[in-house]
Amino acid sequence: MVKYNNSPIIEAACEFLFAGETEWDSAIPGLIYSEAKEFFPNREQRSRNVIINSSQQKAPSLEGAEIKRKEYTIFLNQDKTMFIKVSERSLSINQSSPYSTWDEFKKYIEYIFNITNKVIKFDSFQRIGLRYVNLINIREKEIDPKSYFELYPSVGERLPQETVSFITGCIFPFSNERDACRVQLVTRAPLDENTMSYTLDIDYSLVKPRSVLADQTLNWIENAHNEVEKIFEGCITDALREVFGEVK
Amino acid sequence: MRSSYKESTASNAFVWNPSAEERTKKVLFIVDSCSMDFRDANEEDSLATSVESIRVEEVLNYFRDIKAIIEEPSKVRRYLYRHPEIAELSRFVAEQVSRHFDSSVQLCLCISDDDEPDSEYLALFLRVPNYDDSVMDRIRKIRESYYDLLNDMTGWFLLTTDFSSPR
Repeated sequence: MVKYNNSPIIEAACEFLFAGETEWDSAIPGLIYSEAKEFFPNREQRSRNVIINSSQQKAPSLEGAEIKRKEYTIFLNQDKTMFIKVSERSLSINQSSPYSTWDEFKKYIEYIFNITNKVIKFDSFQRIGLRYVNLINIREKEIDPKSYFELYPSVGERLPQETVSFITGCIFPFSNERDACRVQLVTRAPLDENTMSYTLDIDYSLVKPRSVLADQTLNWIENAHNEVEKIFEGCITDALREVFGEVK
Repeated sequence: MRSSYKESTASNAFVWNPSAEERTKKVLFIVDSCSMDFRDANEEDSLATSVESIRVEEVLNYFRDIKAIIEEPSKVRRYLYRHPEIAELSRFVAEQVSRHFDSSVQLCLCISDDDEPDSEYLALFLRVPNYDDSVMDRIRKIRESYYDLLNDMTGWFLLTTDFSSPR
C-alpha cells in the first residue's frame, strides 16, 4: 500500500443502499443516532434537489423530468471531519480531509455496519459503493495531462490542441460485471492562476443488486478498496507521485 | 494535447468509452444550467455514491466559467465543504444576478467574518461599472428570493457590493 505525505483525498465515502423491500420508517435515523452518538454527536438536517428523468432518452434532458427535494440527516463526529448520512433506504459514512488511513476509515465503516445490522432488518443490498474523491493541485500554469495522468482525453490531430477544461472518464467492469468502477478526471477551479486543479473521482460499486449477502459485505468492501487503490495508482504517473510525496 | 487554465466559458470536452455507452444511464450527470443531479427515474438511488465534495466542485467550476473571482479559493472550498447547501445557494443567486444585471457585472466570491468565533460566512460581492440607486434595489430583490432558504441551512450567505469597479 502506497502512502503519500500530501494525500490528495478530499472525501471518501462508503454507501449502502437497501433493497426496495427493506422495511424502513422515520424512526430509523433516530435509532442509528442513539447507537452512534458517542462518536457522532452532532446532528444536522440537510437537503438537495434532484432532477428525476422519467423519459426514456439516453442523454440528459429536462423533458419529462421532475424535481424532487431530498431530505437527509447527518451525524457528524466531534471535529466534523466524518459523518454518517441517512436518508430513506440509504446510509453512508463519509470522511473528509484530512483522510487518515484505510485501516482507520474501515474501522468506522465496520462500526456503522454493525449498528445498521442491529437497527435494520436486511439480507442484501441494492447497491454498495466505495468512492474516493481526490483533489489534485499541480503548481504549473500549463500542463500536458499525459505528464501526470495515465487517464486523459485523446484529442485528434485535426482538433485544436489547446483546451481550457475537460472531463474524461470510463467505467471498468469487475467480478464478471457484478461490480463496476467509474473513474472520472475533471478540471477544477484552481487555487490560483499558477496552479492546475483536477478531481480524480473513483467510485467502485456493486451493480448487480442483491448479489452480495449481508455477511459478505465487509469482504466486498475490502476488495473494493484494493481495486480502488490499484485504479488510483494506475491513473497517475511517477511525476504526480512525486507531487504527492511518497512515504518510504 | 496541452491543457491550461484560462478564464473562458468554453464548453467542457467530454470523452467517454464508447463500449460503455449503454452504461452511461448509470452515471450521475451534472446538468450545467442548474445545480442538480440528473438521475434516471428507475435508478434514482442506485447510481453514484453520494459525496459532498463533487457537489461543491461543480459549483466552483460554474463560478470559474462565468469568470467570477474566487478570493482565497482554499478558504472558500473549506467553508463550502462544511456547508454544501450554501454552495448550491450561491449558484442560484449568481444565476439571479445574471437575470437582473447585464454582462458588465462582475462577481467575487469570498469568505467574510465579523471577527467573532464561528461568524464566517460566504459573501458574493457584485461589482458594476456604474452605481445608481437601482443597484441596491436589485440586490435587495435578489436577497428576498433566497433569505427564507437560509433558515434550513447550517451556513450563512450574503449577496452584497463593495461599490468597487469590476477588475
